[in-house]
Amino acid sequence: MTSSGLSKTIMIFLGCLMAVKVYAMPPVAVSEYELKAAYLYNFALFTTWPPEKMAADGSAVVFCVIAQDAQVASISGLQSKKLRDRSILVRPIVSPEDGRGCHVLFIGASGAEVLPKLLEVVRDAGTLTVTDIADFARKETVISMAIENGRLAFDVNLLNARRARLTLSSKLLKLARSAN
Amino acid sequence: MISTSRTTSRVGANFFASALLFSMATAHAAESAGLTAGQLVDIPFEQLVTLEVSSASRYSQKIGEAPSAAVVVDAEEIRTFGYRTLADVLRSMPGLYISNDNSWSYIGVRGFSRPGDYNTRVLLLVDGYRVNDNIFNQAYIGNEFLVDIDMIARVEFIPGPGASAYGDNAFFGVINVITKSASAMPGSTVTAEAGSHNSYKGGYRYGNRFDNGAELVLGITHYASEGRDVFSPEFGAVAHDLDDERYSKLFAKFTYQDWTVEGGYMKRPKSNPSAPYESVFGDERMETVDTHAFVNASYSTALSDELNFSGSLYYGTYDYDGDYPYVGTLNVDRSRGRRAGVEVRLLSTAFAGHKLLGGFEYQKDLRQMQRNYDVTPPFEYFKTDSTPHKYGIFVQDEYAIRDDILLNAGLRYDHYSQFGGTVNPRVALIYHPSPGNGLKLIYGSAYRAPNAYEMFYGDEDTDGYRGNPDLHPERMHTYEAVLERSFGASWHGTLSVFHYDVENLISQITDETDTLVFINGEDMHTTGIELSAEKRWQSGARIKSNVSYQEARDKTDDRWLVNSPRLLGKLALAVPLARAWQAGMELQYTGERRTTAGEVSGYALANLTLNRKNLLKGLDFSLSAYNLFDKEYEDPADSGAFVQDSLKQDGRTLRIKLDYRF
Repeated sequence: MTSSGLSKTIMIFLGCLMAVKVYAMPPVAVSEYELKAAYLYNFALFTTWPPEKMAADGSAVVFCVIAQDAQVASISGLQSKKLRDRSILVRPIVSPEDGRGCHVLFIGASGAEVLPKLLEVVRDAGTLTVTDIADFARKETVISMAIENGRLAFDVNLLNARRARLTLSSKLLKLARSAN
Repeated sequence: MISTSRTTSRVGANFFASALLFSMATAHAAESAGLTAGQLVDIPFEQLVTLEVSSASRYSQKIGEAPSAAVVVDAEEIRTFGYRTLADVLRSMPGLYISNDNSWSYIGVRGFSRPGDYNTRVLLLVDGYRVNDNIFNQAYIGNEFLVDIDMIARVEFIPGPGASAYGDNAFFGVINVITKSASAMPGSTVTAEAGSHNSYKGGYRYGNRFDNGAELVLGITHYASEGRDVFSPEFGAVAHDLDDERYSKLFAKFTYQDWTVEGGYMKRPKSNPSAPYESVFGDERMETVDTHAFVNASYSTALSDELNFSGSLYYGTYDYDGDYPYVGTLNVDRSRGRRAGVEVRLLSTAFAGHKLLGGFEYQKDLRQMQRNYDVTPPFEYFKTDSTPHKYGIFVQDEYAIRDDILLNAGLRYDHYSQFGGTVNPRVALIYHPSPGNGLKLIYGSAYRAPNAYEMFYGDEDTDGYRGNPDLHPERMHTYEAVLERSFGASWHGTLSVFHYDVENLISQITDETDTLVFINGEDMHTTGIELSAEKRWQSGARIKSNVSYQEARDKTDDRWLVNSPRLLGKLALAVPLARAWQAGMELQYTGERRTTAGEVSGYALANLTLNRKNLLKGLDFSLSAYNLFDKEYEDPADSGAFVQDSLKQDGRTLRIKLDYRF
């Protein structure tokens, strides 16, 4: 292809793309913490707990949170919602021992220090562990969230899910960026 | 690992949610940012994942860490450190080094990168498509790489033999390139770059997710560079305007429901100032042209909660055109590769404690044409073509023996129409006593089949070259132990010790009739240690460092291998600065290396990139300096191609880059 022929091709190509652009949907931006909280709700929605962990009597689903105040506040907003006819209880925690009895455990940046200990406490306790911490810690939870090019993506660790005796629906796995 | 693509919105999403989304779409970002979690949970999850985040943190987080052993560099790091090519990305990874002969870039792994080998011992994948061509089996990693760097979401490098899952070429490692999805680059982006040596790059990329859930990604790039004027002591002259490089790249990906169809095209003409193959020094006609094109259609679906199916169909082409000027004639070296294949994979979690993966692959080489001729007077040295086929079948199981002990075992059988079958196992035992800490013991084996270039380049009558159709695959056995430790909460360290044993290596020799021919023969081994540590701070600052020491030797004469640094060290630091500016700094040390005739000294390179997102609305700016201190260094040269023993590499170069989104 000659150089001028190439430029021409590029120009035509660009022109076509600009035409397509008109139909593109404008991007919508939402607050990071609110979106993460909504994800957390959806993770719970598509998870099945072992029967001994989730009683059939319609008791509340307990979301434990260790994170910065602003993030705890966002997640607390879920308490006004129902999760499959169960009410939601959001419980901020401080020490690793508080991790027992949680159905969902979210560990934000402020929980980095206690994370290893905390995960050890809840490891086999049927707890859906979720983090948005960006380092190696994410390999240790069932689900991790990360911002990828302006979108919130999440990865699922099937081994950790299995160890926690949780069943994640295929819909959740499909929406995940990776499931391994 | 299975990467599941994001699904499309389903018919029947409730009216309220659609209406809410629509109103959000038309509203200003500031207004929609006011939506609370309580409101957001009413939106179906598959639509939620398409929303853009107005980030609370200044520094975007690192994206998904792939399988434990893999090293990952994502789009954010590519931007932070100003990486221009896949080779730049790989150079930043533990234990890897890059060399360049002014035509192509070569990757070194575990102290192994012999000049004259065309990157055949690393498998390069783009979204699962095998980039290694079907003549040279080369992994193209420099500017000649198939996909533009700005289209890449992340690059994973999985060190060690991957033959039990990937088959051919997955010898020293697998490079897995994953391209961006439409939601990662919504709308249009125009890129303009200018750099040293009159280098310019322009590009346009476009991503859109349509209302029916289909996603489209497109990219087009053109690059031109005059290159350096190189003084050659061997020829006692400066090579003016002989380092010219141009490329054009096109890429498109369309995803709808469980289907993805993608295709790409890349063409790169490159001059070479170093007069390879005794061509006339200083002749402007010297040029090599690489052209790649491919189409890959893949399908992935969950057959049940416990069974996942994926399959793909591909067609790929590679053309090579080399013009070598000699006194009195122009010699043309030409290759045409065409291949088509199919891959099927099944993943099952149906058995408690097991994750089972099985697969089948088939590839037919439709064309492997190689030809060499003189233009004036016309004379054909040889012309060959062959149409072999191959298939592979593999199974892999991840078995949780105990809660903290995992056994990962894989076995693969490959069959080649030209020389039969090969079996490759891999076993890894992983002990995971507590979060952040672990020990892995890995045994692996790998093979590399001889390629069409080694088997058929030159026939009985060709002067100076002869193909060897009787070659066998070369083999390797590896032993590795990896220890992972976390220190406190934010330091994480990895220590790995390895021993690689390679047999029947395919090497080029000059036989008694002064003819270059490939034979099986050499055995070599490499033993080494690698240490890496990383830490992140709350501010978003991050440090990554690693050092590796390895000893790679030929078993017959116990001689240190050519182009094999014993010591490699890397340090990378990303720091947020005032006013949303960010700095990415790198220091990379490569120890001294043996050349055919002597040695080249070790060198340290410093790179610095300053960047700012949204300098003006939608405009990202970055400024990079590579080889900041203008360090002079050389790479060992292939003695079969060059009279030079080593080739001088780039001094300081600068680059300015603008991205404008609209």
